[in-house]
Amino acid sequence: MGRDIDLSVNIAGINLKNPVMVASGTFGYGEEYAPYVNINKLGAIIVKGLSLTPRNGNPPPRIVETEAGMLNSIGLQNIGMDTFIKEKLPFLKKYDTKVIVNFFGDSIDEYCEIAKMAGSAPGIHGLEMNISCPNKQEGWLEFGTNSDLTFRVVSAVRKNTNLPLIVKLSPNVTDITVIARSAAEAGADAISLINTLSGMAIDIETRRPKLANIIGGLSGPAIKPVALKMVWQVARSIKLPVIGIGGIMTYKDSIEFMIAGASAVQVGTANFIDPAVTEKIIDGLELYCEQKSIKAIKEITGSIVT
Amino acid sequence: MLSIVLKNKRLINSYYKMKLSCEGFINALPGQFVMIKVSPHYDPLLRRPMSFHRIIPHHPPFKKGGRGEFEILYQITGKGTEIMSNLKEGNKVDILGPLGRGFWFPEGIEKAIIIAGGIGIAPMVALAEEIRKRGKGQGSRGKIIVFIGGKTKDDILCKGDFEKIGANVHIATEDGSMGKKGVCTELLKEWLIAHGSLLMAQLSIFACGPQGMLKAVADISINKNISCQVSLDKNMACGTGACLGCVVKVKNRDSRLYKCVCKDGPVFDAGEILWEEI
Ligand SMILES: Cc1cc2nc3c(=O)[nH]c(=O)nc-3n(C[C@H](O)[C@H](O)[C@H](O)COP(=O)(O)OP(=O)(O)OC[C@H]3O[C@@H](n4cnc5c(N)ncnc54)[C@H](O)[C@@H]3O)c2cc1C
Ligand SMILES: Cc1cc2nc3c(=O)[nH]c(=O)nc-3n(C[C@H](O)[C@H](O)[C@H](O)COP(=O)(O)O)c2cc1C
Ligand code: FES
Repeated sequence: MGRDIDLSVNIAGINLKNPVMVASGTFGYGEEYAPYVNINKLGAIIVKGLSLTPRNGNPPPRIVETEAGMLNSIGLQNIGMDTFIKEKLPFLKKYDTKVIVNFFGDSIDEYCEIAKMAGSAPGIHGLEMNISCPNKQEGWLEFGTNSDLTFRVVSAVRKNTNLPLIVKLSPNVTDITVIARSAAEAGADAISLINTLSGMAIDIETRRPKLANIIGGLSGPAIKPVALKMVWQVARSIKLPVIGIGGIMTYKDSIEFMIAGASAVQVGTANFIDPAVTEKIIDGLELYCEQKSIKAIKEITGSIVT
Repeated sequence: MLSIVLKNKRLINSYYKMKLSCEGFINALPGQFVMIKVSPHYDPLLRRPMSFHRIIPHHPPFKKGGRGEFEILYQITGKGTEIMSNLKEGNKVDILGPLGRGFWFPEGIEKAIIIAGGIGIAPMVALAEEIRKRGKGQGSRGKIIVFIGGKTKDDILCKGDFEKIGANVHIATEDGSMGKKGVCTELLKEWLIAHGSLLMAQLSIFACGPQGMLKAVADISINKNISCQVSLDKNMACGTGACLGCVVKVKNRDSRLYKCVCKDGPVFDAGEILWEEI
């Protein structure tokens, strides 16, 4: 196409060739989608959330479709950090894209342990901390719903890694800017949001919840307005780069998030519907910039007119 | 991958058959499936999994790039399949596939037993055609016995398709309106007793249908030590093993508690599934 539009962005010290990443849990470990999408074209791959040891996850049914969205209660099933580094990372290293490890733990120690492991594995370009999970050692309170816990877990991880550190926020809180500020003060390099919104669905014939876990996380186009608002709120309340996530299906959705203040975006559920959607979004961003005579995509970030 | 609807017609009640064509279609195996995006809108959002009902070999002469055709057999059960039923000849639909691991063909099998309930019959015609093809020129090999079950006679599909390829078809309906009154797993039990002199190692069972039926078939096969493959059905989002949404509990052999129906299946060895917790 021979245009000279600069799509690159720098997030937390990671240079991305474009602002489009695939969201954790919606792209496996890359292999699953390699036959369907040009992985070299992606800004980054965020891998399925990893814990120190493998997790089985929740009993099925784990997914149910809702209006313009879906609920999932996968329960963070994953192969564990060790197996990831041995069996999946070599595959990802073959591609010219950035690999960001999404991770979580039951305790602050587990978070730190994983961060250390990632630091010594070449080929991992950054970390994304999922703090939407309960702290088993302290009353099962979700890390990401409490600003003090958020501060403690993020600062502990910060002390254990030099890798770029993104903290991914849960939307299931009263004021997301409070949590964002705690993460920023604790040393995060960037903030990504949103994780899934808590929700449920019931079968009216059997009167049973449609998910075995009763509740799950809502994703897809249905959550976009909520995500957009939260991205806007967070972007104006902290200085760190913000990554927008939630219901992005098209390049137009991505632009909306960037105008609201996001420096980059992650595409989740949309991958299920069209595995090549990210390629289309990247092409769309380029075309948009061309049509609007925008030289560098970063110019759009935070350009909202109010 | 864009594919074109060549035909879409109602068979009976809520059962439909659709024929599709697509550019350079890759070889699919019986038991594999496609994920169909039934509309370009956000509701319904997800693709719908549908088995290959018939896989039609490329027709010569090849057009530019080659062209494959296949059929799906489906039942309207909700908004996605409802939309499918309204597709017209010439409409384009987006498909992803072929996906999953299909049926496999154990060595030394003399007789294939196909058993299906309701819409579970869908993948079995492609399977029977493949078995027939493989058994050609091998004498008694490739003999196919089919058991079909349904609520009433209107739920018994594809009887003629199986008969056309020389299969021996047995039918059971719950209301007795066709074949024997009862369930098809009972027919299978009776048949096995009547053929007690057969070597069980020379039989192979292929099953698809409601979970209760599959569990009953699995019990029979495990009791009699007959090899048995079942095609499972779970809600799916990605169809490629990425979301981990479609899992089934397996007997813990390689330390994995769950396997993906979309990628590790949908066809599994009946002995692998933890039927108590399905
Ligand atoms: C591997 C596989 C092969 C299949 N092959 C066939 C086939 O050849 N013919 C056929 O008629 N049906 C088949 N099914 C079932 C078919 O996918 C569902 O009937 C269909 O998705 C229902 O969609 P709906 O929008 O009409 O129903 P809705 O109830 O509105 O669907 C809502 C959601 O639930 C899911 N869902 C509902 N019922 C089922 C079900 N039984 N299995 C899986 N997901 C379901 C849908 O995909 C959708 O995400 C197959 C399922 C699987 C997993
Ligand atoms: C099936 C599924 C699995 C997910 N797994 C994870 C995960 O392991 N870690 C995580 O931080 N987010 C996970 N998410 C959340 C997504 O990364 C994303 O934040 C959310 O789905 C919203 O984006 P979307 O609407 O584009 O899907 C998962 C989402 C889905 C649908
Ligand atoms: S449907 Fe996503 S893993 Fe099977």
